[in-house]
Amino acid sequence: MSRAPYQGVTVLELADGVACAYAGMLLADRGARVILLEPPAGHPLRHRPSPGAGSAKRFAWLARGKESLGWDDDSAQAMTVLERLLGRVDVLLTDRAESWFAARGLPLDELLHRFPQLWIARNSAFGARGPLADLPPRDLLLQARSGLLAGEAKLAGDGVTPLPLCSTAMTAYPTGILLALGVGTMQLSGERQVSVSEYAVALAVSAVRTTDNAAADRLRNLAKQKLAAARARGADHALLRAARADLAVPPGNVFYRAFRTRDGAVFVGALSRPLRDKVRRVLGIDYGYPDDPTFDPADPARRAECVAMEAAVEAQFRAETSATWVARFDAAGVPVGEVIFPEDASALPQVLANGDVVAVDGDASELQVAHPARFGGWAMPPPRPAPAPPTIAAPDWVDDWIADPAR
Amino acid sequence: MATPLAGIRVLEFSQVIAAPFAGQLLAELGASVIKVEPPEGESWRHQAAFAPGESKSFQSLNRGKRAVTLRLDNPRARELVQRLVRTIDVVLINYRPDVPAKFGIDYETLGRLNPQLIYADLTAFGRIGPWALRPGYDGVVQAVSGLLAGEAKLRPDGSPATIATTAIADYATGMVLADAIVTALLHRARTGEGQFVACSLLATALNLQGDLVMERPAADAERNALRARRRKAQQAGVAYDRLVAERTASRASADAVYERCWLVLDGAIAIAAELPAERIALGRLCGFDPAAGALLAAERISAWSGARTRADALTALTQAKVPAVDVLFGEELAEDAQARDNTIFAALEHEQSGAQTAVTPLLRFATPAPPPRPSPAIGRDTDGILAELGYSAAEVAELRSAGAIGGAR
Repeated sequence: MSRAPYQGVTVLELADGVACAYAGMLLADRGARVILLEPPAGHPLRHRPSPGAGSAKRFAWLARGKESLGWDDDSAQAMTVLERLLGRVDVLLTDRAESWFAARGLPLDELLHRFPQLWIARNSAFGARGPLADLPPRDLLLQARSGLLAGEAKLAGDGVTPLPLCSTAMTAYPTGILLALGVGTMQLSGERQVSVSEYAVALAVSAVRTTDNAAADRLRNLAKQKLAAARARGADHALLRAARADLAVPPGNVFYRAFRTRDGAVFVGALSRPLRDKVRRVLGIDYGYPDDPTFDPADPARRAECVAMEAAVEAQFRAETSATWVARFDAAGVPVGEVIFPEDASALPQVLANGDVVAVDGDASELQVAHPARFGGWAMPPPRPAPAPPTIAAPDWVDDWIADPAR
Repeated sequence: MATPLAGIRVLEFSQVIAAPFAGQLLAELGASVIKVEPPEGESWRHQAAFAPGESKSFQSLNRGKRAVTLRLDNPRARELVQRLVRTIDVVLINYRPDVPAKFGIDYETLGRLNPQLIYADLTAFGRIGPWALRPGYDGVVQAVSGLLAGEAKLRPDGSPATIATTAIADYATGMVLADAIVTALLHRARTGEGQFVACSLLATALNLQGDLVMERPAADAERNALRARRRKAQQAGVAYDRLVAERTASRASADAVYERCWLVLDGAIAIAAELPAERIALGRLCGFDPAAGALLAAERISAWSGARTRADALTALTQAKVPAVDVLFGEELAEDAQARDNTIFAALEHEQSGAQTAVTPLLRFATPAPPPRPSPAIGRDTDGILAELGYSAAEVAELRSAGAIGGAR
């Protein structure tokens, strides 16, 4: 493949959230021309760090390979500039609500009519309708509303207040990938608009919790009923959590979890009977749960056995080093891995061997995570740096600017 | 009806979550997807099964596909695959890198039979490197990529706890694969050329933490100093949970008070006040005067929220234009107005297990999607697919008695 897959496609990114930013990044990596509209104060991602990463890094990562154009929503010329752009680009990538467009005299459902060359890829966030339709797609809100946050049961020091997941913007990145998929699908098919609801994505990736399956849901239905009854009584959050006790994973899972070791931690991943048998052999334990059908973890005696077994195995792992445990489980063919911190990932031999981090074009000292897919026959060039803060576009030069192929 | 990938035929050698989810996305977009399984069905059918060969998770990851059972170690089955692959646009596969060649389903073999083929490969850690042949699951990848430690969630004994609400690396990698396949289809539409595309759980897991994993010396002085200190502490034998606690403390920010959860009388809410105007409005609601200079204290917000019901708190916050929602549990979303008004859940009937709902379609176009089709029972379509390929009933019976294909349905 000699030509970049999205060469010749121009994308106008009019969005604040990580989902559209990541979608734009994926498309830019694949050769699309991605124009990022930034307000006078700079795009919010320039200023909003993810915890511990600093704002400079987040923007450098998500805006790589893009071009910036300043756009002042408050200025008299704003709509003239925007209409000029919409008349020239191939794809509008946005997470603004329908009301935002309508308020500016550019209702979304008329855009395709007014601009016959335009396609639209939209993160509809919580959805185009309903009481939450105008909420911005912020990670915390999506986690909270979708059950991801409460279901995670990560609690603050008071033992009750829920804490959000923090290792990643976990609804935004998948939504961004689906938006990129949507743009490609439109190109293949002639469909001119696609929308992905980040809220729906949050529900989809936890489908086992959020969807109904009459034959499978005995315990879940019990929990649903108790939860509904607790809600009706106005129960507080602690009681609501307790109402779902039937869904709690019983103790005794020593087969698919992480363990502290003498010098760190490892994760053991045995998800089948044969693999669990291997774990039993490596650990030298005679432990029927969960494969022995006569082993009932609800029976108090058996439950005590589960608790004791878990504590014993934890102590076993703590007695030896991570390297020892990894070697043992590797030799037995059980999936296992050492727990590392994110700041160590870029130096992993496996990561380096596969080119999963790459130097940014023009600055070999900056290493970024590589595009997640590899294409045979097309050597993806190194990513270009993120753009510097732009000047505000004016109608008298924006046409020339966008027409310039050298950009 | 929106079926943008109508006419595209996919042959899926897949198991567990990531690759099946990719195939389901393509099926949702209108592609014809055939899933190849061993005669006993793929392993995920048996994970938390509620009936023989049927688990809720499997059913939620394999909608809209047809199912064929083959014994790939049988040469007659391999002949069948080679005949089938000539009619196929995309092979989607997540076996360990050394396995496909043993069964004659590697790209070299199949690409020779069908040069336009798009061969989409998903591995746990990547196709080369010291870990290429090691088995992996989402949990292992969470561990070795930094996601697990980055989540800073601990079990009572101080060991790391996983992101439990979903196998996020698995789902995201499935999406990456579907996206890569469509990109390759675009290239093929232009040039007539097929190709090999690849992705891995590890590469995706790194993407999910792109800003944490990247190295940017100009911005990294503090980060790298903390990293050096943590590595030293690790070598000195400081326990994992202490290292996590210190890392969390080093990342604490005064901003955190504006974006977090709060208890209310009848549950919990989440407030995400990002913009200055939103923060000022939040402060005002709690009787706090920003001109006074100090930061809004957590105690002030928790006193405000703790005295109110969900409904009252959210009404006040919405009126003040402070983005906030209530904290819900996954099990109560089916009745939720937001999900209902946006038809997020679709209802369908499964041949084996009856009524169910699904979050579909994820990609919405101008025209409505066709109704979703449930996942298939083991080997449900073996005979039908062989008939399409031109095998007679006698030939099918013979293949079955030779052990090349699974039992009749």
